[in-house]
Amino acid sequence: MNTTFILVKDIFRPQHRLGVLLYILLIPLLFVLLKSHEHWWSEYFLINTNLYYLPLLLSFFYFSMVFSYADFSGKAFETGFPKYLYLLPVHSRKLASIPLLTSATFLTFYYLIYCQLILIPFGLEPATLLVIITMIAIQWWVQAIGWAFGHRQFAGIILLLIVINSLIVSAFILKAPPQVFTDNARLIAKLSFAFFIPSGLLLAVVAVKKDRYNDKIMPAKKNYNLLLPGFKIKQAFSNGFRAQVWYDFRLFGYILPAIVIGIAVLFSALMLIQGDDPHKSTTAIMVITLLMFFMAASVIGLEMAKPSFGNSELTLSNFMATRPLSDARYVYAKLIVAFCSLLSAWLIIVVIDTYIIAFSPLNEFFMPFWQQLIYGLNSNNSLSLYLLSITLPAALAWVFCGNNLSIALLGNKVILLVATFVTIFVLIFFFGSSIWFHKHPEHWQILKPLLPNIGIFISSTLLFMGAIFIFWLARRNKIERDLLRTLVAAMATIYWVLWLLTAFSFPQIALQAQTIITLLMLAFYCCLPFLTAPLSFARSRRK
Amino acid sequence: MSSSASAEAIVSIKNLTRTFNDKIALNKVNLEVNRGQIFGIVGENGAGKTTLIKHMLGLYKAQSGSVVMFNKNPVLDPPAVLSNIGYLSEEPDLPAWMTVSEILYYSASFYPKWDQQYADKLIDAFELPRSKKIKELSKGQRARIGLVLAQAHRPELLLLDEPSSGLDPIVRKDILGAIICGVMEEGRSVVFSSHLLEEVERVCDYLVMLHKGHILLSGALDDIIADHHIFTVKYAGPTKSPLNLENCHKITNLGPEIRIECAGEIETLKQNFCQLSADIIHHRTMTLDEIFTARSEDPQFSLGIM
Repeated sequence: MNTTFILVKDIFRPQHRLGVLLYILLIPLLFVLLKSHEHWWSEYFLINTNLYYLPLLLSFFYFSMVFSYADFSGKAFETGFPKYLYLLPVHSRKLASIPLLTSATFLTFYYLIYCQLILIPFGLEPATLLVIITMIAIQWWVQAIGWAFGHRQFAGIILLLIVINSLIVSAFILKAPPQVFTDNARLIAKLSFAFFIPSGLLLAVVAVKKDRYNDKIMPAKKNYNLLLPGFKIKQAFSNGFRAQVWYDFRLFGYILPAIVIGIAVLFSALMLIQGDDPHKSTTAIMVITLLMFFMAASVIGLEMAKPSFGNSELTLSNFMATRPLSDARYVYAKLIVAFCSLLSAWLIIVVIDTYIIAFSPLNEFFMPFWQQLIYGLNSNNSLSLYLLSITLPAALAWVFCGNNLSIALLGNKVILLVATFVTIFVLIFFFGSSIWFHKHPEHWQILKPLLPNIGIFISSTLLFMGAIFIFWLARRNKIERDLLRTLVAAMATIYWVLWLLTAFSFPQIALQAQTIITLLMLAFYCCLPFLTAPLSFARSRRK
Repeated sequence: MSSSASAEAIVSIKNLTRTFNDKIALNKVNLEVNRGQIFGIVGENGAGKTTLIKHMLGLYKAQSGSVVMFNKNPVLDPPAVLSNIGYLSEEPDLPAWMTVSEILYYSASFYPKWDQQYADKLIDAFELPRSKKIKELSKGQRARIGLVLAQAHRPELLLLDEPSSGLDPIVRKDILGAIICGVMEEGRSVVFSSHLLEEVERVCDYLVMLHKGHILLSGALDDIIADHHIFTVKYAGPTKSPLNLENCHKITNLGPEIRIECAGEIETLKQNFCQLSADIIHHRTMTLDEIFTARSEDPQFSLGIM
């Protein structure tokens, strides 16, 4: 049998054939459905919410897994080039390139048919070449990474990125965007054509060649989970640190993503049912979603220092305190879990928000708003601003979460109580003022030039309050006998101040986002928990 | 305690003092545990037993004095010290949400010397259900799983803080059996605190008796018992002059006879009675329970055994 035929045939394995067929059949089904859009429900859900693109994205997501030779079912998900194909008498170049070319050809035809049957008949103007090039670039990289690393968690992240990328493409490229997005879209196409497609091809060939001779580019480590540790364990971990990561993830890791999904589902439902004039409450809903995310991140930070979620005790159990793990490693396990949990939750928000914006009339509202923001900030690079708008809230939530964890690890209920109130105060003040300024932009114009002075005033006040707080602790006989406790309490207070300043200076950071100093400052705030949390924990672990 | 210079000390505590809100929990405690010893700590509630053990684990910092475990400071180097210790407390506060299997895998990850075969053997011997969650186990089963976790990495030192308190005799027997097996087969050291003096008497070689943070008594168990006596005496003459004995704790008048609890060399005591013209009608050594009661009631009752 021809080796090319074998390689192509193996992509469409029996277990995937039905799925592929169903996704291909989606196109005519959708066509028929759209043609009957005189029904009220189809008009509402398809026309009004722009669901034309959803089948394309879903099928792209599915095909990207199929073309990667991934084995996936409800129980398992494995990536990697099939070992038995290495026995074929062909060069590694051919082994790698046939699946890549197959995927490129398949996706091109699939998209062309999709355009002809769905997009063009309904008056949409698809950027055909651009989308095809982008899809191929993403697809080839997914295949290459899947074969190069052979790591299911890593592949999971990549697949998540596919969804995000797809959504970005759909939100900013497909929908006859304003000029500024068209420019970016062209840039993406050029980059894809000149860099991502050739480099994806090269990586895939190297990966297959190395894997064929049992020489992985990055071998999968046993029991090492990059993003989400498994829920159940069936054997011991290779060291205590990984066991501790698993332990904390079981207790706290799933809470934040679950909260976020709950919020997202609730607000998605609200967005759908508000019908006629969704523009009115859009900003409020987005701000509230962000507020809930920050609030949840802060609460998780406080809760992670406790033996379990919702536990009123702050003291460490003897069982946990006697694990032979250093303070730093014990705390880093918690910080890693907090970080992964927060990252997962944030990615969920980004995906869902992008879906909402892309597939609802909000897009028409959002685009001019976005454009206005770009021009208002004198930014000439919308993509970097978009990435910044994704990373900045995540970084800020991390600062809240990490610093709260540091404070809670002190194990002092008084300090924790004060920290909780400060968190609530900061969040209410910050988001309250955001809504206020949104409703009254003239006040913002008055406040804007005064912002640096306000920052100095607030920082001075908070430093003063911090000094009073230390003095108060000393008067209560809490710290005067122990120098370390004094230092840790003082540090906690100072970090509060820094953390509060970060929160208050958020609008400033947004305005000056492109300056290196601002980004370095933010990076410093993000790193602070890694310095403070072990000190706090050492104090509470050993009395 | 009397430590031989040649023996290797794995626990060395010197002048350890600890206060909690001006209340003295430990006062200038000195202690040395050598390899292969079974060391009992006895004392009433609040005597400082748990505080002393938590210092050994590095969970408390010494306010004054020093604690050295395996030639290391447990506060500064917890992984090195804790990896050599198997710890079981009165209430093993194990994570209730874990199954027995999960807690075994989780704990095994921390110890390179973890012996899974040994853990399996103990789990089977104790008939512990692997798929059940800790919260579904009885108190006795939780104590047994705590014992498995404390032993399966074959620690050099087993620290047991009132492990059998509130448990039925069968579980207590398991715990005592594990201690004896560990020492007999592997030369492991054990520090064992308990209210149940019978248990301590059965398994310990050395003993430290704590009272309100002070060490009342410390030494080899056999020496301690051999040096505590109860005499029943009767005066030879008609005059009943008060007895004036050193190290005498309690004198009870039983009509013509007098019951005396005292400490010291048996021959010296007999000579003293002879000088006082008192005939010894009956003599026996005190039980550990009697010694503990006597010492707790009268801390001034001093011996030279330290």
